Amino acid sequence: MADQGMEGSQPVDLIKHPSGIVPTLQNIVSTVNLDCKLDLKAIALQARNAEYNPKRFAAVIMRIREPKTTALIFASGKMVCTGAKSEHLSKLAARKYARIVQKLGFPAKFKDFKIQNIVGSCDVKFPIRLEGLAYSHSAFSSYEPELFPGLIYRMKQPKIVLLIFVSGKIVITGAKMRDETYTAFENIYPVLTEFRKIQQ
Amino acid sequence: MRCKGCNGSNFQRDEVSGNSFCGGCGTLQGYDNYDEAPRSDIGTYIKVGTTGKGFVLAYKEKKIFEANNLIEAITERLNLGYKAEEIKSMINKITDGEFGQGEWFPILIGACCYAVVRKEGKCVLPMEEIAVAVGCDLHQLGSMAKRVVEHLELELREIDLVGLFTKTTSNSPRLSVVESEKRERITKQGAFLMNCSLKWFLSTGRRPMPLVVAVLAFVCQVNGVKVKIDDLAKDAKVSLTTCKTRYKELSEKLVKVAQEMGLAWAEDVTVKNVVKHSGNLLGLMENKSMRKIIQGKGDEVVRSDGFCLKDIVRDCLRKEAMYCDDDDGQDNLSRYFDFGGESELTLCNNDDNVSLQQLTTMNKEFEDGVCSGTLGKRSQDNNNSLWQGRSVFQMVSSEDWWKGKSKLSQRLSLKEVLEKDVGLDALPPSYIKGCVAVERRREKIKAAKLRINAIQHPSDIVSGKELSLELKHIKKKRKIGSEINWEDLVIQTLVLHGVSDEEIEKGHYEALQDLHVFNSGEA
Repeated sequence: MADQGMEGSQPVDLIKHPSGIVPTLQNIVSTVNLDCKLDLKAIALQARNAEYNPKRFAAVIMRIREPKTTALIFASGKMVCTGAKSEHLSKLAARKYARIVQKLGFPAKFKDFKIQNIVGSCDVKFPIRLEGLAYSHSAFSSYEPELFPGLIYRMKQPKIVLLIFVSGKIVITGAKMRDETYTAFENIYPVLTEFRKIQQ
Repeated sequence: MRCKGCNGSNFQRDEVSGNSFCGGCGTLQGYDNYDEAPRSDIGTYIKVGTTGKGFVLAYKEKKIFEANNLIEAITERLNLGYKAEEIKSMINKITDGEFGQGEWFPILIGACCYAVVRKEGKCVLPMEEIAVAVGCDLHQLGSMAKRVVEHLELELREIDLVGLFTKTTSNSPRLSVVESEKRERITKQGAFLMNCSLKWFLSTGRRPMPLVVAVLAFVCQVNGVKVKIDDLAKDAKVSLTTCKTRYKELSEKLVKVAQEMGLAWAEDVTVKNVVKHSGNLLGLMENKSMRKIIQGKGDEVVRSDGFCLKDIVRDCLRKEAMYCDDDDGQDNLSRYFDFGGESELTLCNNDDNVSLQQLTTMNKEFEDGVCSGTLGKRSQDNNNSLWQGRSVFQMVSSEDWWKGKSKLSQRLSLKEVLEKDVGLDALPPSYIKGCVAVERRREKIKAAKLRINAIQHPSDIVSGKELSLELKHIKKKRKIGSEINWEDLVIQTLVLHGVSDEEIEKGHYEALQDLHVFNSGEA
């Protein structure tokens, strides 16, 4: 647990984050193979924190409070864990779910754990002229205010999608590693400053 | 093939029934009955085993024929009949000449229509209109349009807000009774405000139609046309709430313009009465937008024929005897101005500038309007008896301020719009809200630290007022005793766990709690 003092957290590493802004990770999606066939009905009947409606969705939806996450458990033994705020917490949560399944009497293992998607967000603290950005980076951008209020920027390297909003709020998604999120943001930041609205 | 009855081979066909019968004995030949292929609306009949130029080719031809018909029908529905050939060639390219059938095909046609219109940029076709004409979901259409644009590597032009406004105005049945001159004026003022909205971020990241409705309702009010925003929203099939929000935002910006322009009576202009002032305000904005900006020495920007309204009015008031026959004229006007120093300003009297006469008259008009409460009425009636009593001037109508000559009343590129000065450079509403939220959180953090400090160091005297510093905005709504809410407690917890102020200010409480408070799994 973090220190109980009143001091702030670590200062931003300007070498790694030249913009001085570190995107906050909001969601981690990971998958794991429990390597055994599961009787979903039995799981749903025994576990208190599970819901199962085969007409609606062919997986058991299980939730735990710490780390606050949700898992989709399929009959094939595959599992998807969502909602964690860091890679470590996602793995920890996945292990907890595997343990629950084991306790319900299935020979669950913990194979092929993999982070599938990382979603981060940050605020550049200046307004962005989306129309200008969409026009000059048309090869990468999709800005259709009739459909979605943000500009969708598909970065090629790293292969990341950024949602850029006029308020200066940014959502970065599609990364499999935390550093890809950071690199994508550092790449886009100089572009955003080009289209910032100068405050008077 | 022989006859069943006489074994003869002379067959003839009955013209009525189509059956063949033996020419010798007349026996009907059952085996040679002509069996027509089953034709119905469901399914397509394909004869199995047919090769070469048989039914398969006919199926393809039929499919292409029907596809072309559908393209023509949809383009006609969207008034794009003249673009049908271009759309056919686009679809031909996309589908490798196969065209298509099924539910997806009309969506593809709609997407191609959208792409063609946006690529050319000459006319306007909102996606919603296409979705209605095609009968599909808006997002399905958007997704298909994106694929078309990517596949054909098209470059779309900017969304034409002015064009959309003009189209909506000209198609509106509610404005059909308005005389053409007034209608043209409404269109030009609306186009001007649409460009201003683009400049002020009112259109960025928002659906254009609600803004169009809001602007149309506004300019209708300014020009005395009785059209309700509810009706306009209904006609355009957009949410009334969103239209009203845009209307409010536009009014707020115009109030700010009045303040920024240095309008003497700016403090009296509010969101509620801005419509009454808008005739003059739009004229001023138009004048300002028509002036060129040139680069001066150094980094300073000098306006070639710029003016400061405040200086002009001050100058005007110094020459009171020339312009006003009221004894108390200066006293009345002086409440708006600080007559500190002598102005060195010399006034240009060209067409682009506001004349002294206009300004004085307008100011006096407003003065009288405020006093007598007849401001609204007078702007409608120029031959007011009160005015006629004053000998020197006829009242200058607010309508005379608007000339409709500014380029901002036409379609301009984003760059051109941004270059124009309309007296206000606004920030996006969402950004302003974000800044307010950060400021509120900052106050809450400060108060949380004080509360913690008061508990940790009880000997330090901290007033109760400071402890509830952050509550000044919400105090009116809350009862005494329930001043600290869940957000304060979360912030307090985060502060106790050493989370930096900057992180808390972002407002991602759940993420921070998971990382710093409920992180029992961390090493």
